[in-house]
Amino acid sequence: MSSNHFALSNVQFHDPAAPSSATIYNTLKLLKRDILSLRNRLRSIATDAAYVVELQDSLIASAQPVASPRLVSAETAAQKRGTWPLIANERNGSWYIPRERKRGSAYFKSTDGHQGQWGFSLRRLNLGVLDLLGECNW
Amino acid sequence: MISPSKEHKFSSPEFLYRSFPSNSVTNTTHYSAILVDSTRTGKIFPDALSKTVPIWTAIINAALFPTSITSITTSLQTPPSFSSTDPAATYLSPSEISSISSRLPQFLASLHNLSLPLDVFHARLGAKPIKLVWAVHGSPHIILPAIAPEDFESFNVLVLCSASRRVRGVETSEGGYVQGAADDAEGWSGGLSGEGFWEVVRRGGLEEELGESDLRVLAEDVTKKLRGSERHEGEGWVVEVAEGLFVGRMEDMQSERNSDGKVLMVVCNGISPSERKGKGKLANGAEDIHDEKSVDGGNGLHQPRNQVYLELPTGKLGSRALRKKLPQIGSIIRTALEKDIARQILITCETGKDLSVGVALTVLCLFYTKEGKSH
Repeated sequence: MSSNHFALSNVQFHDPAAPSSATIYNTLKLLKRDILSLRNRLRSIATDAAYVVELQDSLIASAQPVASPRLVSAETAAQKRGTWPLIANERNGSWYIPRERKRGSAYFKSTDGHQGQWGFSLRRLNLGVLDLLGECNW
Repeated sequence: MISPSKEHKFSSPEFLYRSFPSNSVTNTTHYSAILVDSTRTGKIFPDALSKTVPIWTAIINAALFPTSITSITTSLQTPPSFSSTDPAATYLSPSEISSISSRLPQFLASLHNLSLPLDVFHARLGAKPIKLVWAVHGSPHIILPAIAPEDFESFNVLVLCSASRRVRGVETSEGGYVQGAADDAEGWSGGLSGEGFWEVVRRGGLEEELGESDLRVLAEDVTKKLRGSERHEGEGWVVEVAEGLFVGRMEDMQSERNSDGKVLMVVCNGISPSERKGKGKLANGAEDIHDEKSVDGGNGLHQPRNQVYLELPTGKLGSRALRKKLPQIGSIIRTALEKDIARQILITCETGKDLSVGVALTVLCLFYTKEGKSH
């Protein structure tokens, strides 16, 4: 994705028979519906996923052991990818991680963080996250 | 890089915005991970990343590394403010931090009540607590979380990443960009999943010239293909979870059902024949021989011989209903087995991989040894 922005000209009004006495409300409704088109949504998700990939690559690149200060081979780079595994907070998160980079899933619900309802779920212990975190340990 | 304050091991927020870093070397391997989520509203982080995970982390750290913190109520790590220039400013309000912190002791107690093998997790984490760092999709540069080299020596670093870019425009969008577009996918995706999305991408769904209607067609096609691949048409699948314990869909259990009767069938979804008859739903009105020989297991369920109907709804309601019924399942099955010893237990649900799995787990816990042999 080279551009983070989409021209307004991409927005198309699907209703050519819009009433001539269209109110601001109707116009905004049409506008919202079209901005939230499948195309715009998917391209937005792709933009966000590109950020996630860049973040992971940056973290991998910035964390190199002293032992091998030279340029890493693709093989080593793939190995290093293991040091910053991408975990999707399901089910939203997996939209933003390319399949080949997704190493695991977690289930932390926002409702457990809602005002006044903060909770620690015993049903969603997410112990798998500990495995991925400490992968280099074992 | 900014070094963490030495005062409180966990509670000092630090952040540094910078562009792509030059190589910085460390002398240890890194224990780390990135958790990815997004948010739809004009917020920067979903509550899952700003609150739920911090709570979880505080409890895990307190349980596994009790000596590393002075007090659990001051150990909550929270995101820094991404809009203030004051490095000490926090994303959450002080009162919310305080309210959450006061609940941490009771959460910790509930975890201890589970009597989990904490030493195993302690080892998994390499005897290092978890340190949280936040990252958010900003524009125009990548905002990289600041992680000091020494952090890796003492901690497992978990980066909480909000993939969506905060939009301050009208109706959560800006020039066509939709913040947190994947949110609430059930409402707009037409069945397309995250996995399906990547298949759409692979098939050229992001090509510039692909219009809205063509994209919809592609998405529908992918969705259909993925659904189809989950089930082999005409070829059922039944999983033998353990010796004599099977899980699958009703239709796929045909051969097992027609066996010599040494089978106990546990049907999760659907109404039992006797219920159906009572409600006048039996199609041909013929005598239901199962019903004649039905045995009341004493649980308020009419159980035709060799069959137990849990009568759970499908979908999300079903899992909730199953949780309510879980305590009884042991006795339901035990009773059924006492009346008629079975060599095989078949557990079915609508999809063959939903409620039936939960019930199978229960059966395994109650009736099977660790080696997978039935009692």
